[in-house]
Parts: sequence; structure tokens; C-alpha cells
Amino acid sequence: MTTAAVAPSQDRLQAELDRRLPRLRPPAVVMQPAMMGSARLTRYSFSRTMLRRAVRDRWRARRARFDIDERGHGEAVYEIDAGGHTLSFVAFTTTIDECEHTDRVIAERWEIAGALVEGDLTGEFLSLLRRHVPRQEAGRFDPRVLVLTRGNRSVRFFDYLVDALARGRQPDPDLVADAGYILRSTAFYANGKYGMRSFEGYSEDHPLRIPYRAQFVCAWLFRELGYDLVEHCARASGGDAAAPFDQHWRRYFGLGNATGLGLVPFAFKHPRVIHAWVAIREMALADVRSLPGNRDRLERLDTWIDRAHSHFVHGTDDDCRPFLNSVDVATVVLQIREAFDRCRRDPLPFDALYRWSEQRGPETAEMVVSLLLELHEGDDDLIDEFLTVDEHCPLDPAMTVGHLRAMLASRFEWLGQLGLDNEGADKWWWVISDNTEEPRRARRDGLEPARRDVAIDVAMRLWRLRGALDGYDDDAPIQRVLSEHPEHRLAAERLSVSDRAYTEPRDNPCSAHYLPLQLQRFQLAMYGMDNFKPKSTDWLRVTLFQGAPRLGDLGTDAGDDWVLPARPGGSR
Amino acid sequence: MAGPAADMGATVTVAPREIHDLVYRASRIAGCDPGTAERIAENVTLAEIHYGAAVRALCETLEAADLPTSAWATAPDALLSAEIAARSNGTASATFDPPAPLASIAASLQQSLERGVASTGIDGRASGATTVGAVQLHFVGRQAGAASGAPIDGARSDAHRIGIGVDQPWFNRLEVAAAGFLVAEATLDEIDD
Repeated sequence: MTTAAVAPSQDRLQAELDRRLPRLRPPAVVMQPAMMGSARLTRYSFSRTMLRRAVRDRWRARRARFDIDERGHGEAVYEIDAGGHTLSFVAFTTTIDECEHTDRVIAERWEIAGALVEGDLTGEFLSLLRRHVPRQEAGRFDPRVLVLTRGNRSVRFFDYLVDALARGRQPDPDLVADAGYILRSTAFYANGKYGMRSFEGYSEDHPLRIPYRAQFVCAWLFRELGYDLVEHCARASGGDAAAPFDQHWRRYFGLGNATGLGLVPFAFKHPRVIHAWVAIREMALADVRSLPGNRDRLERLDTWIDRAHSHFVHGTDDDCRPFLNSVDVATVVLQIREAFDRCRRDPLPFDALYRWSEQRGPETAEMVVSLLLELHEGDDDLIDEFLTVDEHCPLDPAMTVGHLRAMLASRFEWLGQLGLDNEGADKWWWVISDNTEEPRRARRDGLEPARRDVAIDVAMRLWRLRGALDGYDDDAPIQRVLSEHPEHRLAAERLSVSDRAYTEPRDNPCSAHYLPLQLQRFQLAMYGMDNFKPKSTDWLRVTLFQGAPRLGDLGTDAGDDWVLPARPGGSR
Repeated sequence: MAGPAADMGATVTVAPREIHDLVYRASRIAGCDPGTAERIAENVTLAEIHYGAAVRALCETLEAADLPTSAWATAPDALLSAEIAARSNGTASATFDPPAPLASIAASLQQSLERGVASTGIDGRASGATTVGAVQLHFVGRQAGAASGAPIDGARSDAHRIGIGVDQPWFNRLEVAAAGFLVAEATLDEIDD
């Protein structure tokens, strides 16, 4: 992928896809719920691209202030100079009783409340942040504030880590190594919520004018705070006997995250965004599958397979259904190792490995995709550009019914496979709770929507539109249909904007059989999260930035091979 | 970054997204289908950015009239039908009876312009609350349409960068009108059990 002529990024992304068309996985494979629900982080996940950008552009970061007491209560400020833009992560920390800990986004109290802000952190601004940030959704912000977040300490591990370091010891790997994090966040609000800066408010050359970059800068600094809190509390407790994390542990922990249903409406509301995420991955996969197997590439994949095994084999063996737990993933990686040993003399060994994996099912296929993409050397500038999507695509009122009918047949031919006329197809409706505006779903037989539904029932709406068009001639303008039946406007608009291959998860979120975890995992993997631990059908815990460079590592040769860190202390 | 209470009687700075989301929700609760509610939200948001007084104009309708049969829901359709005629015939007239608030068609006019259909008949000093009885539409071609949209794009960009000042009492009334879109957490927990 090379930077070429000036053209809208979507058109250029499409041109890149067109060039690879025979080698791309079709949407009928990629957009299936089971495949999306097996996705894994890749080289192009947002945590990776953010850190590569930070290293490449020589961002400088420092802990600017740390007024924290021996219990870990107080204020901390981390500062990043990102190409001349001063960004600060301002965190307010306390402790709450264990019984008040909850992963639900609706919790009212948090041990850490933070914000990523831009500009001079004057006394007045800090004072405002002090008042509003701990209140989270109840606070009121202005465009200096870019991201709002919060979280808690790990109940299981924070105190243990403090105690170990206070005694001058490193953690016992058998006690903590499957945890993967010190602090667990729940939300990273941005893009104009509660008065914060809109994404479109970043200037063209702003380092955060890449979707989700601000949130990932914030998350990375949140993770840094976890290390600093533990080491600070350990020093306060142990005095001269205390030790910091040693070189084996100082990067091992990431940031935990608990994720609920909020991701699902996003995926159904932003078809062109989803397309861009998937298309970037699929382009890279097509490129790698077409590579011959020279020694360097074969050895690099060997290394990544070994690394994945070492990482997962020390992870959790808890019940993670419908996903595999880490130990089971390690077994899959061993099978991948054996398959790759059989494929390595194939003229196209990476293609052969992928084709083998697809026969083994989604978990194996997506693990192979994740590993293969480590061999890809795409242009990060271009990737960033492709992620910045124009979602504005109003329906042309002069479009004929015949044209719309043809679009429906070509873009949504799969609707017929969803059983949309069956009982149970419309069991759930999606709703926003009055408590911190958390999306949830409700059964129709338990509560009437009464026009409070979040309209992500894309499949149902398009299915109904298809029926409504039956009464119109092919040459009638769609505007006539919509004037007479405004209830179909949303579906018609969707048909207009859904103009790319990978826009639509092929699922019905209102179905009795709908499993939110699949789409949640897809998005979390795109973000760069791993260690998927479902806690119900509707929410799960994950880890991000595990193994990533720390604040002080920026400016050195931090490298990009930090994912899938091995457990300190050797093999199990 | 003062709390809403501190701004009573004054102007509150909000992000465009906040206006959009609240208008969408208020429109749904007032009886509009999601597509119509989305269109009203786009019209009001752009009108508040470019002309002002759009939130006020919508709230006045929400509190006094039936939104799904009002100009907020129907005027854009009249405009789009006239746009189709203008693209065929070169010119056309969209008439609104009763006259429609400019805020009810602001984004629709902009979208017509992007498709190459320009409008005349709107007073340059109009606010979002100004009512419009008719607009004349002229097919000028997509390139000319895109070029004349630049000032609106500039205002939009500023709004995203620094926010929009909205009359606080009207914004509060919009929040109240939109609140019914949310369902009580306790209700949801109850049906989950």
C-alpha cells in the first residue's frame, strides 16, 4: 500500500480493495457473527497504531505531577508533547469499599476518575476538572476536554502487588500472572459528549485527528497510573525495603476494561466505519497470503507462533464460553504450529496456512489472521487516512424504486437467511437506560418500546422496506414512497450509506438468538484488546496494552513487538 | 465549564452532537419515526450552528403542536419533491403551507445544494425560527453547489472546535423534552428478573 494521488480516503480504500479483489475474503465469510466473534487484535488494532505513531513522531511523555498519599488518594498529571500539542491526563484517585466495586458503567463511585485535556493546565482549569471529572456523566465540560474516563483497582491484585513490592519482592507469577492488569476502566467518553471536544473539532494536522486515537492515548496513560500507584503505595508502606517492578514485570500488566452493550449500537449505526476497520485487516491479510515464504518471513512467523503459545498457555483456564479460554487458545496455537510445519514448503505457505485454518473454524482462522498480519508492513499514514471515514451520504430523493430494489438485492441478499419472518426475530428492542445513558436491550413481551427504541434493527427495517416497495413501479422516485411511508426512511437511508463490502454485520440484534458478545469481541479486537472473559451474554472483561512500552520507553527504540508478552518467571 | 445551573438565563456552550442527540430523542418521543427524527435532528443542529434560535423554534413546536404532522416533519419532503422537479426542469418552487421554520429545512437545503440544486428566497438575516413560505430552487450543477456550501462548512467546523452557544433555558427545555426517551434503570432491571 503506497500513498498515491489525492482522492477521498474512501475512494482510495476502495481502489486498494479492488486491486486485491480476487484474494480478499468475501463479506459472506468475514461478516458472519461467529467469525466477527472470533476476531483478535492485529498489527492494525488501535493500541498498536497509536504507539507506533507516538514512537515514530517522537512524542515525549512525562509524569508532571503526583500528589498522592500513602493510601493512593490524590491527584496525578501525565503530560505528552505530541508534535507540539500538549496533552495532559489528569487523574483523581481515591478508594472505595470493596462492596461498591462494580464493572457496570452505571456505578456512581469510582476509585480513579480521569480526563485527557489539551492546553495549559492552569490553576483555574485544574480546579474545574477537580469539581467535574469525579462526577463523570453528571459533570459539564468544554472543548479543552478530549476524553473522560474512570475505573477501579483490581480487587484481587492491587493490594497484593503493593504488599509484595513493599517487602522488596516481585509478584509470584502463579498468583497474579493471569490477571494482566492493575486498574480496570469502564468507559472512555469523547467526541462531544457532555460538552467535550467533537472529533471534527481537531484541526486537520492534529495528532488526535484519527478515530479513537485520543481514547487510546488516555487509556495508555491510565495504565501508567496503575504502575505508579502500586509502586508509590509500596514505597509508602515498605520504605527503604520496597522495590519497584523489575524488568520482567514493568511492562507485563496492561489496563483492564469491562465492556457492556454500548458497543453493539455503535457497530450497527456506523456501517462505513465498520467497513474501514474490516477492509484494512482484509487488505493486509490478502497481501500476506500472496507472499512467498522466504527464510526471514518463515522465521518471523515461527517466532510469533511461539510467542503466542507462551502467552496463552499461562493465561486463564476459566470458563470463557462462548469463547475459548487462554489455555484452550494455546492448544489451538499448537495446532497452528503443526499445520505451519506442514505448509512451510508450499509456494505460498501463508495462504496455505490460512486455508487450513478456515476449515478448522473461526477461532483458529482468526488466530491465524492475527499472526499472519504481523508479517505485514503497511503504511501507517495510509492506514490512519483510511480510518477517517465520511459517513455523510444522504439518500438521493430522485433515485428510482427500481434502483433501490436492485441495491437491496445486491447489498442485502443475505437478509433472507436470517429468518426475519420467524417468531422470535423481533424479541428484543434496544433501549437507553436513564442511568448514565447505558444502552441495554429489553424484551418486547416485558416492556413496550413506545418510540424509545434505539433504531439498530437494520435487518428488520430493510426486510420491511423490501415488502413496502412491492406496491410501487420501478420508475417511481423513492421520495414518493417515503412521503407516503416515512417509517421506511431510515431503511432507505441505510441502503444508501451501506455502499461498501464490509459495512454490515450479518446478524439481527433483535433476534431471540442474538449474542451481543460476538460483535463486542470484534470491536474490542479492533481496539487492540485481548483476554476476552465473558461475564454474561451481554458483557465481558478484557485487557489492553499488556506488554506495551511504558511512559519512559517513548523516544527509545520501543519497537512494535510488545503484544502477547510471556509470563514472567518461566513456564508453567 | 460551569454546571448548567450556573448558566441559567444565559448561554450554554454545547457540542453539536448534544443538540443532535437531544433533538432526535425529543422527536421520537413526540411521535416521529427514527428516519424523520434523524432528519429533524440534522436540520436543527445545522440551523443552530448557522442561523441560531433553532432549538428555541423546535421547543415551541414540541410544546404546542403535533410534531409528526408539523412542518418539521413535512417541509423537507416538499423541498425534496421540488428538488426532483428542479433537476428535471432547471427550476422549481417549494411551497410550505403553513410556512416552515428555516430550522426545519436547513440541512435539507444544504443536501440539495450538494446535489447541485441551489435555493433563493431566504433572507440573509434570517434566524432558525424565521418562517419561510416558499423557496425557489435552481439547478446549478454539483460543482457550483459544493462551492457555495463553503461558508456553512466553515461555521460547522467552528462549532465542532469551540462549541455552540445556545440559550440556556431553551436548551434545558429540550433536555426535558428528550428525557422521556430514556427508560428507568429500575424498570429494565425488573423485566430482566
